Amino acid sequence: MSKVSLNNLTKDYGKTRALSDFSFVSQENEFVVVVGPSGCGKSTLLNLVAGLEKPTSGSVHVDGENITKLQPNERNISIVFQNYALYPNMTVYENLAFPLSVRKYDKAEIKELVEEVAEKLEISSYLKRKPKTLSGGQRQRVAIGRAMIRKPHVFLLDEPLSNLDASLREKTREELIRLHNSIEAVFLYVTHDQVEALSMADRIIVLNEGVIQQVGTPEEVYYCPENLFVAKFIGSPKINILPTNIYNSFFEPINLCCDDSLCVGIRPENIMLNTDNPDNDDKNGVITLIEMLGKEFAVHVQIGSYSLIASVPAHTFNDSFRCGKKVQCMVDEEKVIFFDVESGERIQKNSLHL
Amino acid sequence: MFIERMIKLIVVFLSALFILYPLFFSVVTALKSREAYVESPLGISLDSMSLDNFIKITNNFDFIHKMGNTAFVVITSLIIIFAFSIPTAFYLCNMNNRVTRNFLTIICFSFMFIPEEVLILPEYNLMSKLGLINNFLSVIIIFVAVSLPECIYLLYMYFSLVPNTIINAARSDGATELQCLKRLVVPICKGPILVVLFTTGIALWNSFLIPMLLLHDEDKKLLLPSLSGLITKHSTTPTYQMAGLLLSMVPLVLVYFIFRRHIYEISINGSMH
Repeated sequence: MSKVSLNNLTKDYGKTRALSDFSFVSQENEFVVVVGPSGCGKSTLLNLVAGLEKPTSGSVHVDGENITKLQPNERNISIVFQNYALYPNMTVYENLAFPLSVRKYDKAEIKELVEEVAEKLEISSYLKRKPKTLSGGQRQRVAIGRAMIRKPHVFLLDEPLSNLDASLREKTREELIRLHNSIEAVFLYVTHDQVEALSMADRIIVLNEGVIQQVGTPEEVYYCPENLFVAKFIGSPKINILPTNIYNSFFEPINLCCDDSLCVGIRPENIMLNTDNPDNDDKNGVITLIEMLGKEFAVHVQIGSYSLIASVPAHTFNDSFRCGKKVQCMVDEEKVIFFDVESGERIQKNSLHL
Repeated sequence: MFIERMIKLIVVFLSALFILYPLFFSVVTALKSREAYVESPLGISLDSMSLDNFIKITNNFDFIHKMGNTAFVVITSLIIIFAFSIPTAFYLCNMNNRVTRNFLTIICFSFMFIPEEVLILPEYNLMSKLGLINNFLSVIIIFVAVSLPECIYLLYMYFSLVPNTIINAARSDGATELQCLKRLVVPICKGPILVVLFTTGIALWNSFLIPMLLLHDEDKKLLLPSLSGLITKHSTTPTYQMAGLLLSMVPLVLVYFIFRRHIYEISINGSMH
């Protein structure tokens, strides 16, 4: 049972503020994904939790104990780096044993634990090899094994999948979720990939320029983004953001939705395209580009000066979708999200006296 | 193509000549009798060649004892130098304050350019005031002081090639700074450390001025200063001395062959993506 709480963490590098007033309390053994564009302060956050850097202000608590002033080697926290950081002079066995041997564990005990972890991660057959003879995926496993061998309370993962190829990434993603379910530790996983965030997290923290944008479950973050940044960052293909006047002239107008201070966000999968009425109505958009994405097609439609993307499920896709074709756009009003143009904040629909 | 090849050949030949000529001269001289040397310093005649000089110098000159002195002084100095320079270099690498770090490395760097001879007189004065003349300690102290800045600077340069994430990984794995140094930095930089060790060792082994001034007693003398004394003491021809010089090189060559394999080993290959 482990719990992390971060209180008002702030980190300055000279005059630039990398992380600003970061507060977060995890649930027990939660899988938390911190997601944001590069340079948003997510690696700084990991370094602060690991103790590799000292915060300018704020504190880190693990299981109720304030560990802000402890050195990294005094914290029960493991970290998996993006580039694995295996020890090149040691064999896989020695790499796995390192966290134990620096703590002066008994030789027999080390052997037992290393073999246990190696078996779990299916790396038993190359315990005697040096890291340089391993493939990327194998190195990744060794790095994860080295992090889990001493059963830490907190697991920090710094973009651990970004150096793997696509198929291996998916497999490792699955394994990490399994791993999290099998051990009792808080996972703090940092990534710039929103797909990883949505698929793995119990809760997501969206970070931009060192400031928390939203904390929530994947569903909350996806369906109820709190501001324009979160809406645009999470989800692929990207959410469509339209000014209200464009929305009103191309979609079924919403009665009270003609306020210039608002804009609307519509997820691509909520847009329905009707190709059956190819009349020359002004309200029709024109298909400009079609991307095949596997289970769906991303259809780019030009409406006025705006281009929007609609996802069409593969089973409803047919020959009537082609470039240059006029289509009518429709949307379920319930699924439209409103944002304030100035502040970027989401506006509750009921406050709009619809 | 042909001309290019010829140029390459000539360059290689010339550099070989530059390197081999002194060695050739020493070997030929050492194998000659005094008379043959006077007759023709560079001539080679197989009949007159003999190992007499080598035998004579090891029998008459207490060669082994003097070599032992040198070995003792050099090895002790090296141990002290590396006991200090390795941790210092690692500490410099991890120094967060860039201004202080650069200041300290520049100090180390600039000490490399002070010629040894300039310091001879003050060093002699200091040692005689401390009463350390004719004491190995005086030479060891000066050897350490002279070599330390260079070693720290070079090791710092090599240590800073070890990626920081590896060290950070070790720290969060629970290693203390000393364990990081002992189990990661030193093994990873084994090659460079041996190179620095070896070159420093050669410089100290062949050091001449300092031990000559500070150690006068016959049984305290180091090898090189006493070999240079031979030329006036026993003869005016260098045949005898050359044999001694060649013999004094033997331990260095042996050490080189023992460590040769490790010197090329520096590799962080495979640790990072």
